[in-house]
Amino acid sequence: MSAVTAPARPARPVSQRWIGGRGAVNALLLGAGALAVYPYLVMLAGGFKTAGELTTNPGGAPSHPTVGNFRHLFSGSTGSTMWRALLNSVIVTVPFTALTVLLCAMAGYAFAKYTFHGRNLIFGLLIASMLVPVEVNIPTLYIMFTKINWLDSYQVQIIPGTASVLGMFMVRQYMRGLPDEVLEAARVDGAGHWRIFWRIALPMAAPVLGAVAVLTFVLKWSDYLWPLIMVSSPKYQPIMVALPALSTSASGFIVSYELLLAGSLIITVPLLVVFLRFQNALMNGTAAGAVRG
Amino acid sequence: MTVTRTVLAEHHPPGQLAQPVKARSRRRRRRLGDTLAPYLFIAPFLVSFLLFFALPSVFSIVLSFFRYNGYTAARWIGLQNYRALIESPDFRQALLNTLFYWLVPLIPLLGGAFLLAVAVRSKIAKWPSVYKPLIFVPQVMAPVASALVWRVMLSNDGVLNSVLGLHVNWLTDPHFLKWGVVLLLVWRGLGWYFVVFLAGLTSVPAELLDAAAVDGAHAWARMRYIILPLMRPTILFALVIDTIASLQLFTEPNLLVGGAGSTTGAPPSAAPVMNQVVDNVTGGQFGLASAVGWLMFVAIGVFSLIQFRLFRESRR
Repeated sequence: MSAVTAPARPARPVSQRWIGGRGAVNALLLGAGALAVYPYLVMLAGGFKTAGELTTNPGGAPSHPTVGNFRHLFSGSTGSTMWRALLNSVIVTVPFTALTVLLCAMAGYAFAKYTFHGRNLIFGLLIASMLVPVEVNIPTLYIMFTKINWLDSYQVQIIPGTASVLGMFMVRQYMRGLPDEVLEAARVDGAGHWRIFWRIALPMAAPVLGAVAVLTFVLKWSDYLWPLIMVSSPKYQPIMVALPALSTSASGFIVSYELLLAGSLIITVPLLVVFLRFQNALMNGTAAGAVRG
Repeated sequence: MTVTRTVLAEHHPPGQLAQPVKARSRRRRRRLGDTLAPYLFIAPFLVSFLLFFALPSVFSIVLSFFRYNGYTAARWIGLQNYRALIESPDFRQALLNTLFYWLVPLIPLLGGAFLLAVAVRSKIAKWPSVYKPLIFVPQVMAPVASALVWRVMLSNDGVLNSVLGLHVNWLTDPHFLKWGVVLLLVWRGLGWYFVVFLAGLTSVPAELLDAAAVDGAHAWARMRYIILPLMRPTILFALVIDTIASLQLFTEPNLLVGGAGSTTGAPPSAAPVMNQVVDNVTGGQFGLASAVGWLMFVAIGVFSLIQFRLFRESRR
């Protein structure tokens, strides 16, 4: 309807006044944007500064950029811990993300495209469970993983948590919009349930699967609490736990800030790359629950 | 049209006319498969959910009434864990701290994000598409990295003190510890709510605002009578998510104002409730740790209910 009438209307003269001064609005937005980005610049610049320069020039560009901090972090005994921790983060994050997307896709598909006994009850319970905080599970899970010898391992970081209710919900919402005719046509052609799901529904749902994957990757890569509790040896520790521990143990009581900044830069780069490449998937995933409320 | 095609397909599956007997058994097998298929699709998700979420939650209710250290036999002690917590000064301080981390950033976070979202959508903003990723980007930095970076920024010779000409010991002065955490929380969280509100604002039709403006409704009237009512579900969603996230806060305070070494580094005056869970788990007091978790659950439930009520009622 509006598609027909909108072009005929003159270019919104009144709505231009709907919040106040043009200059004030743009100044507000520019200021917010600058404040949002500034800590990134501090991190970027600080990672290339010496300890001395960080004290005298904490906020500006480095006058004599040096890669000494990175060399310090990634060589010697510190280096072997850091490399190992980075590798562990990859070993954990990639399969966790793949598994989460698969489980969410399968369950979301069933909730969107099948009617079955208990569907609404199960779905409702899953959604309600989002109100249960992680605090509640940690003691029992810790006991459970002690008993089955999962503490301090890769599997304790890869298997639990893959049933992401939010991810499942996102897939379900998207798949409800897929045309039934296409799935039905495949069924008439003799395709089985799995084949219809794998060959037809999944490719059509690629955008939401991408969003779930990106969101899961970012959250898992950034996770601190879970590995802090469940993993104790450097052999399995991800970088998020290894980096803050390193800063305190390597230099005793004095925290070397330039190393912290260099390390923070390293652990942020993968996230920034993902964000720059998939920013819409990430931000839309963030807002997934917002519109439906 | 769709209906006819489905009906036709039901009545004439391929092969039925040619080989009726074989087809009937195949059809029965297929009907069983049709019934089972959805359950098989949700099974992996449900197994993972039950094993690592639902069952541990249920067991932890039970555990919260026991004294259990992991190796000797568990002993039923009724409500003693809960009583011990409520009487513990450390727990009460942690509860106050967590309330502080929830309520103090609430207005800057949600109000600021709302204001910025409205500003971006206001059509007088230059380059509106630039601001969405720009304001969201702090959310991309991991909590660990952001806490470490802010730790450097808030240090004595750090950016904040030198730019503002202050001499505040953000990281050691007990009066300022929590305020430093609040700065970090607002910086990192604002973009999230901003994006949520931007999405919510798409449910406010521009035509409606224009029509109201033509009828003489001023900016405030349009905000009060059009934008806010239509945004109510989004605001409620943001409030509930903020409550849940705040009560689970852990990484930021511990890495920002924590001392050297320990896992839950924040001093008692700045430690969140989550530290009570982690400390009791690592200290082998699993019943007590579970009780903390369930108290937090009750808190989240009560706060969410209040928020739902408030928003329901004002809708009438």
